[in-house]
Amino acid sequence: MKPNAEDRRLATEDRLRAALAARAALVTHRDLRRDAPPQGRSWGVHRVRRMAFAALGVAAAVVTVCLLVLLPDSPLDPAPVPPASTPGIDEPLPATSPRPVGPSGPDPSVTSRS
Amino acid sequence: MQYAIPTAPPWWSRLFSRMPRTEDAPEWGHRLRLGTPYDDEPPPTLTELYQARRLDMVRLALFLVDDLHTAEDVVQDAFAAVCRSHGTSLDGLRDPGAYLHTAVVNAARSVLRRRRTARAYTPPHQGYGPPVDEGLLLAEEHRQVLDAMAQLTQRQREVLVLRYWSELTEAQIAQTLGLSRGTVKSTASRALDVLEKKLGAGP
Repeated sequence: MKPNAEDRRLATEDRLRAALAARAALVTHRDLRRDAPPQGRSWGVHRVRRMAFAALGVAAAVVTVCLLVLLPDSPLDPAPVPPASTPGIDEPLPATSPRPVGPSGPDPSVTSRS
Repeated sequence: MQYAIPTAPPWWSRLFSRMPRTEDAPEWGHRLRLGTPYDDEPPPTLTELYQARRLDMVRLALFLVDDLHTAEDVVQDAFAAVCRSHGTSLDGLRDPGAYLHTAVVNAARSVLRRRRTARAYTPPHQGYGPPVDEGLLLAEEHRQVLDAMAQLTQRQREVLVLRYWSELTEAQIAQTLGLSRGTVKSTASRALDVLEKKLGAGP
């Protein structure tokens, strides 16, 4: 901005401030109605809403904990582990060794008919 | 007495110390500045805020809506809105002055919107207008400026009034009007250009 334009701008700002102050000064307390300040609850809507949300949160937390504790199959109340099964029933059979061939007896597969 | 002056002024009375005092409200001074949230001390109550700021807010509304009766209604509505939202204790309100500014500007905008709507259906209503003797009391140069200001757009007037009468910073005006700082800056610059032209072209 050029110096001349700057001066003009400053002069306009000064005139504006002076005009606003002059008009504002024409209004005093004596010109105002005798209105009383608004009366109402000490707590505003915002605070009531905050408290309501906090109460809801606490209630939700309590309900959640109760559900976790009381419901069956909950992680806090695991189902009882069944007793171990008797050994032997489910045990795998021991590996069978190849049938021993007796040294005295003849091999039945090679017996010839007489 | 209901509104007796306290022996020890509240903490926020310091905020008024730098401001010029009006003859009608000597106890708390001129205004509660914006951007001065309280930290560890309790905020003023709604009644204290009302007594300290009502006149300034009426003057601000007067610049926006142009007649005193409507301006008083606007300010009363704004205080009622503050009371509804935050109660008479103003609990949880970090910056009551800033909140009040925004409430008054919003209430004034609602009035202007209703006026525009009504104007679409009925002949133009002149309203109460300025007091009869206002023209006599205001100097000619001031009247020229105010007449030129009346021809600006609503947003330009809001920005100029908040900047040059309420003495808010660009950031505070942006917060109050819900605009960006850049928009506030450009709006103020354009409005001053228009004023310069109108005043330069005037008698």
